[in-house]
Order: sequence, then C-alpha cells, then structure tokens
Amino acid sequence: MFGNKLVANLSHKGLLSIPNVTLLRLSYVGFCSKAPTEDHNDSFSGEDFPPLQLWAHEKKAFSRRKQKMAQELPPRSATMKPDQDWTNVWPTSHSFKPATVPLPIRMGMPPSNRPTPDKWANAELMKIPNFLHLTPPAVERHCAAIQKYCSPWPEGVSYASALTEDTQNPDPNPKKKSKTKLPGFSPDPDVVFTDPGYFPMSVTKTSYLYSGPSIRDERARVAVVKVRLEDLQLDAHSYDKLLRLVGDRYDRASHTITLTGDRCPLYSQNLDYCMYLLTVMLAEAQTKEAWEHEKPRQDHESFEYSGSSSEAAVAALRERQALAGVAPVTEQQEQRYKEALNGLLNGGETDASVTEYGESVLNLLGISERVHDAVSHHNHSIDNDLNLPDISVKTYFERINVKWQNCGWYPKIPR
Amino acid sequence: MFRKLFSLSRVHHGKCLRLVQNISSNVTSSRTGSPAAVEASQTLTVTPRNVGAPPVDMPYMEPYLTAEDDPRNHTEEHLGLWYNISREEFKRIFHPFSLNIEYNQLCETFNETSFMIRRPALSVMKYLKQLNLSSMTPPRFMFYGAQGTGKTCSIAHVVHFLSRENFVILQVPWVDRWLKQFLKKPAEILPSAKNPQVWDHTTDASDWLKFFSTQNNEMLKKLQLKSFDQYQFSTRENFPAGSDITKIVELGISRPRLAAQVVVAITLEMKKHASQGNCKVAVVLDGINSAFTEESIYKIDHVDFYTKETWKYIPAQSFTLVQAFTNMLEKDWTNGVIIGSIDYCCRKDKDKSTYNPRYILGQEGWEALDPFVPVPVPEYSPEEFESAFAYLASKHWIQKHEALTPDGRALIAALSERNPDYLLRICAPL
Repeated sequence: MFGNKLVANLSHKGLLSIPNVTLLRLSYVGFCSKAPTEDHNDSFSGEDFPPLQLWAHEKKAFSRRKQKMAQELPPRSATMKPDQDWTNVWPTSHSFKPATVPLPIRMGMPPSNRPTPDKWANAELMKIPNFLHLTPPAVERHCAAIQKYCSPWPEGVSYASALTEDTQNPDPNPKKKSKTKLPGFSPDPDVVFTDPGYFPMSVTKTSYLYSGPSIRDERARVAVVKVRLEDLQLDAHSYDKLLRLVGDRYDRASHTITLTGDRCPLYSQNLDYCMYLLTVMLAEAQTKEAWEHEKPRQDHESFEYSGSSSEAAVAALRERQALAGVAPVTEQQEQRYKEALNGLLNGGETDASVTEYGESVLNLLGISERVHDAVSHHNHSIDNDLNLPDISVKTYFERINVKWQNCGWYPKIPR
Repeated sequence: MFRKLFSLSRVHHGKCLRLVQNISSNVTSSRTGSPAAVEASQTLTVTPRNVGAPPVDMPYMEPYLTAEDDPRNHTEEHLGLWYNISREEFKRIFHPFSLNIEYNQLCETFNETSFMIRRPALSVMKYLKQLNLSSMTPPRFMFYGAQGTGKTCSIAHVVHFLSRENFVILQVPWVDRWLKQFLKKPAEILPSAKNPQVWDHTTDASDWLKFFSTQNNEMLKKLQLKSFDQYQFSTRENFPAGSDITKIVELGISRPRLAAQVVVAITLEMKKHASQGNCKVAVVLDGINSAFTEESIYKIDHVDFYTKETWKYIPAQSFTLVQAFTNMLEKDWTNGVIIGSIDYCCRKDKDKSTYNPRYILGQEGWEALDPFVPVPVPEYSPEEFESAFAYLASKHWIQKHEALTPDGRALIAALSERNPDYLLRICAPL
C-alpha cells in the first residue's frame, strides 16, 4: 500500500515517469515464484525487491568528490605599484623569487621546439646569483649610511697617477661616473724627493667583513706593492736587468712594477716578503757581473744599427758601387734606412712601418718613387663601397620565390 | 665570412642534398600536368639540368683582355687586364709546381694560361727597368700578403718578364716542397759525402736541374758558359776548370746521387758569371721563409738532455739544396736580382696571426734578406674583381645567370672578400 501510495504520489508530482512504473510491474509479474496476493501487494517495497538491472551502463559510475581548492591570491608582483621603493621589496641578497620580481624573465635549456622556460618554478633562475639587492639607489643609500665612519683624505698627500689609475682596464665612460678619484699627478723627478707629501709606492690591503661563524677571511692576507720605475732612479743597465728580473710583473703602459705576496698566512708577513723582494731585486739589478759583457746581439733589449747585418749590407753595397764607379749611397739615404729599421724593429710592425722601410730601401737603391701599394689589405671597407643586396631570410625567399617544403627528414613535424 | 660559410656548408651538406632531391621530385610531378598548372606552381627555383641539351642560354660576359703578351711592354694602362702566355712558352718557363695546383688545373681546363696584370708585379718590373744591376749587390723584392692573394702569380708574371729580359733564372717553385714533401713516402735524402751532418736530396735535386735546363735552354745555348773552378764530384766524374756548364747539369740529371752537389756547383758558377758580367742572374724563391725554419718532415736520432726526446727534425739549413740557395742571398756578387715571396702558408706551426714579413721571416731570415723591398699583394680592387669575374664568365666557368646579375656579383664579392683564391673556390660550384 505504502509503495503504491508513494508511486502515485510521485507520479502526481510528475517526478516519476511512466516507463519506470511499467518496468517495476513487469519485473514483479515475470520473476515472482508465488502468485501475487493482496497481502503481498500491500507489502511491496524497493528494499525487498531490488530493481533488476539488465544493462551494465545503467550503473552510475562512482565519482570522486572534487576537492575544492582555496582561492589563490594573485602574485605579489601583480599588485606592485610602479613608484614603489624596490629596496624595501628586496632588501638583502636572496635567491630568485618569481612572484616577487615583476619581470618576464626566461632562462634555461628548453626541449626542442619549445620556448625557453619562464620564471615560474625555474631552478636555473634560482641557481644563479642575482644582484637585485644591489640596485644603484640601494648602493647609494648604503654608502651614505657608512660615510660617517670615513675620514677625509689628508691634505698634501699625493700618489703618482700611474699608481692610482687602472691603465690595464681603463674606464670606458669616465664622465658618467661621479666617483671621486685619489689625487694623482706625474711628478717631476726633482720635486719628488723634496716634496714630503709625495708617496712613491702604494701598498694595497683588502679587508673582508661579513656575518658568519668566523671573522677571518684568508683573502685578507694578500699584500700588493706597486712602484713606479722612474721613482727608483736607475741607470740603463740596471733598468734593463730589473725588467728581466721582474718578468711579467712589469706593466708597460703605466710603467710600474707590481709585486703580490700571498704565500704567508698573515698580511704583515706577505708585506715584509714583498719589501724584501723589492730590495733584493734592486740590489741585484745594480750589481754588474763579470760575464755580463758577453751578452750577444740577439739578447739586446732593442735593435741597434751599429754593428748589425744591415750596416754590413749597406757597406757591401757602397763597396760595389765604388768598384763600378757609381756615386755611392749617401749619408742621408743611410740615415733614412736606419730610422725606418728602428721604426719597424723597435716600434712594431705595421703597414705604415713596413711601407716606410720599403721606401727607404728603394731610396737606398736609387729609386725615388714608390709604385707598389702602401697597404697589404685594402678591403677593410668592403661593406661600405658595395651596395650589397639585402640578404635577410625573408627577402631572400621573396626574391628567389622558393617554397620550402617539408620533405620528411625532420621527424618532429607531423605530416 | 667565406670561412664561416665554408664550415657551415659541411654541416648542412646532407640537409641540402635531401632538400634538392625533394624539390626535383616535385618538378617531375608538376611536369605531367598541363602547362597552366606548371605555371601556377612556379614556386620552384631549383630546376634540373637538361642533360645532353645544347648550351643555348649559357651566361657570358666579355672578358677584359689585352693582346700585349710581352710583359716588358706592360704599363699602368694594362692594370686589371688579362694577357695570355702561349702554351709552349708556359711549358718551357714554368714548372708544374710554379703555380697553385688549383690554378694550374684551371689553366689546363681552359687550355690556356692567362695572368691578370696587377700592380705588385708591375711595380717590381718597373723598378727592375730603372736599376743598373751591374753596379750593386743584388736587390731583393719580396712579395707578401694574406693567403690566396696572388703572390705566386705575381712571381710567375715577373719570371715571364725576366725570361724575356734574358736573365738566367734560378727558380725554386716552392722551397717548402723540399722540406715537407706532400707525399705519403717522403723523397729520398742521403748524407752528403763532404759533410755527413748535411743532407742531399736525390730525385728532387735532379728534377730541379732538369727544370733549370729547360727553363734556361735558350740562354745557356747562347751564352756557352764555362766553369771557373774544377769540380770533382766522384772518383770518375771530374770536371776541370773551363768545362761546359751544360755538361755538368747533364751529369746531375743523369746521376741523382750527385745532383745536390751539382746544384751547389751551378749556383756558385752562376754567381761568378754574373759578377764577371757574362750574364744576368735572377734567383726566384717562392716561400723563402721556409729556408730558415727549424722543422722539416725528416727526422734524425738526437737525444735532448732536457726533454729526453730521442729524435729531432732536421733543420732547413742542414739540406744541401737550401744551403746552395741561401748562399745566393749573400751580398758578395753583382748583376743579379733576388725575387721571392714571404708566405705564412708554409709555417709548420700553422701560425696565421699575421702575414707581416719580419714576423714570418724570424731573426735569421731577416738578417739574410735585409735590405729588401717588401711588396704587398692585396686582394682584388673592385675593378680587378670585375675583370676576374668577367674572365671566368667568358670561359663559361660560371653557368648560373643569377651569379652574373649585379646583386649576385656584389654577393660573391662580399663572400670572397675579393680574395682571388676564395673567388675561385666560390665560383667552382656556380
């Protein structure tokens, strides 16, 4: 009764459709072992007789309950204002944080045919050191903060500019920097020893400060001593000998020698060692050994015309000219040849010096006019003389009208 | 730029091949269709050659030639023009190794030998005309320049001039060939009979004597030179003073074991004849800097105390032939001229940092040659490039129409940097 009522009730509400009812009836008629009675009719319910499901798809698939994610906040970089203070966002050194840096940075090796990985979850970006905490305003503020610990440069003290300026790596943009330089000048040799404020030698020490378990840093032991060669006041012999002794510690551009001590554990020991080295080398340079006059021509520091094979060649030429009764080579011609040789062998081999040498030899032979080329390579400006066609890829294809086809040898492109 | 292209082409060689195959297959398929369809698919550039078809539409350019084939008459008006040497004269004056191998092959392909009249060779010839050689030690003119710019061809032009000027020419086509034989099995050398520390070439020396006798055949016949000294080459071969020089040369050609000693005798005799005023002598040495190197391909047993090496290379100055020609560089004779080229190609250490003469020659080479006139051989000027290009096009060596268009020419000029050697290499597949 109850079941009928329920069915009637549901059908009345329009929720249960008629085919379902007929199915229930059918199942009741076909598969019940006993004949239906009114009593049984009354006690009919879904629990006693589960509905027969003939087809498997009528079973509802078990659906996993979806876990609702909490709503994510946008990354911090999206909410940043353009006029914010970056030093507050990134005050100290830290590995890269993609949500904080408002830059579309990409880095890393992509798989083929893929773009370079972006900043999110990018291990490559986190590995490299960044300098986001060392922006110019941050450095400026830092300097301003520690300025109270610095003392002004003492008056009357000066170094030679060769010691203070970096001639090896000159500053490409000296005007842009507002860096204050040490006062430097090229001292007059007479004034140097009378001026009490002039220091002919610079000694460099570096201190390293950082927060860590130890305040020691082994790099602080290094002592660098720099001396200008003019200040040593050497004669030609000891000058040459000193250069041979110091080897690559001599800087030709600034005319200085640099001694670096780092083999002892303490700075003071290294400094002592540098001073000892300098003293010993100077003493060694100023002594003249008994065998030093045996130095052959090849070991001379520069080319000397007198006694050279070139001089002998000119002498041989003069001799032949005298035998033939022709006017011999004049002093002027020889002088020009000598100067050209000096320029080439001592000054360096360039197109100009080689051409000048050739002209001087022609002059020696009695030919006044040079006819051959003055340069050995005249195509330096080849791109400027020629109106080269635009050979960018796009115009190239347009020009020759090629249709590039996928011919199958590249496996990644689907055909 | 050329080098970059060259290295790239190796990498992409397979790729290009496949691409061309594919396109050509497309061509055959499109041909089966109607002409209109073919026209519609005219997006193809690579068209297959008509094998066996007559060369109807071969690209051609008028060459810049001159009929003046005597180098004595060449002046600055002829700059950039091509002149032709007859094949007979070429075979007489030049050795197979006198020219670059590629250029030699090209000459054989064209069945003619032509040289462009360029400023370096022309200026040396002009200087030679001005000089009175009998009143001075032999002047020296050395060509130098980058690889492939035409040093050897300039020497060839000057040699042609010298032979017309009735010089007796002692030419070594490529000095380095004696030292680093470009063969799997180097040519034979023997310890010299006089000094076992010095080494004699056998076949190379007799080859050189053969070249000398063919090159100077006319002059030697005309001059009938006699020897000044007596030469005892072996117990049997004895030439008293006053014997015929051609006889001595013939002995060297027939007896390779004695040929190196004969070369020494010939060089000494020619020096004396020149100084006496009997003849004018030109010493022509291509790649002269290799005469002063420490390294050759030949090795000898030698224990180095410091490196513990048990062998070392024989230095160039330990060969009789090299000694004979460095002796000619000395300043004790007149009525001669020395012409050569300074070339970094023959450096064994492959140091191509600069081609400047002092750097390549080294101390010894510089002292032996100084004073000399260094004559730079630059790349083609734009006019010379045009002339060279037209010459190649006139020989149908360039068979692509695109290459002859102004754009194509400008592109090839930029790729080759107007270097003659690079130009030939770039034009080879065109």
